[in-house]
Amino acid sequence: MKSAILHSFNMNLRSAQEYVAATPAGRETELPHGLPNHPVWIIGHLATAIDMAGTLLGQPKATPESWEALFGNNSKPVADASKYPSLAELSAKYATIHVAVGKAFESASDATLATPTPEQWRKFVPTIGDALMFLMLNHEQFHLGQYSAWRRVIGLPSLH
Amino acid sequence: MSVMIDALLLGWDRNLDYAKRLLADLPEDRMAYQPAVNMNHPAWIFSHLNLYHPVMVAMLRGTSFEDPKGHKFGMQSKPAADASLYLSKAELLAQYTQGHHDVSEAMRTGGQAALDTTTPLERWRAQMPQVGIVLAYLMLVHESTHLGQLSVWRRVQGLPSV
Repeated sequence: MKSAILHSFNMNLRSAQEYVAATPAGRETELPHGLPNHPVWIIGHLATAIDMAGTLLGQPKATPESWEALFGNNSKPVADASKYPSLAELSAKYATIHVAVGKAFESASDATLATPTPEQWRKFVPTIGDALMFLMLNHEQFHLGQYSAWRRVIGLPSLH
Repeated sequence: MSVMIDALLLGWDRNLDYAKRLLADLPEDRMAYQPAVNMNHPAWIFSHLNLYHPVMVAMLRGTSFEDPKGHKFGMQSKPAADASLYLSKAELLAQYTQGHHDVSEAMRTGGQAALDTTTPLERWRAQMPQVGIVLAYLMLVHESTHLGQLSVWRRVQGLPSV
């Protein structure tokens, strides 16, 4: 089952990189028509989220503290690009963490995956394995789906 | 049942719960509305997702199924503004809920052995050689992508986040 999850997880990274590469320069923080999230926020948010997944597997935190305010769950995307690192920087960091988390997941034992999550998460995702599954697959693709919809709303064609 | 099969099923249940909340306050007459060109609307999204549930069940049970590629709601189809082409919101949601239940049931029954079998559909086999790989993709990647699209579809019309 772990290899099946890794297969999809790796596919997520390739999709994200494809979306980033196809994002026109200068448009990556556009938020027209009530769009909730833009590409810079999405990739920064995914980097911080998958970094959190890594910490559940004993990895050191890899994103700067300042990213929590920019991309954490309570952050609100803004259209001012000067408030953010570049999309290229975010994407590179996201990819590095993604690969590291994939490796840590691959070597995680069943006992680790069955370990209860921290108290505040336990109702939503009772075990480390549940939290990883959610962060690695549901959460990533949910936001990449938003990325694809962002493209349509600003008038760009589908990539697939 | 393995730890990660349980986790997969929990993620699957999360999608069901999220989908219900995304649909709950949508008026019937907005189900086929496209706020932007080629944007996927809820009627198409749920018609499309529901197409894959019987396919997943068949793979888990080792029974035959038709390739969904050419189906009227398959991957090559486009959302149409004509709402009469789709089931009603209540019917789509009922089908989606039942489909989720059927897949969960088939996975619990088949377990790891079903997930380890060779992917029966040739065009999927090269990239996803085992049924487990296809299932993880369809259940949590494919579905989550379209639910993410639906969340944006809601927001561009001024509907609240769920």
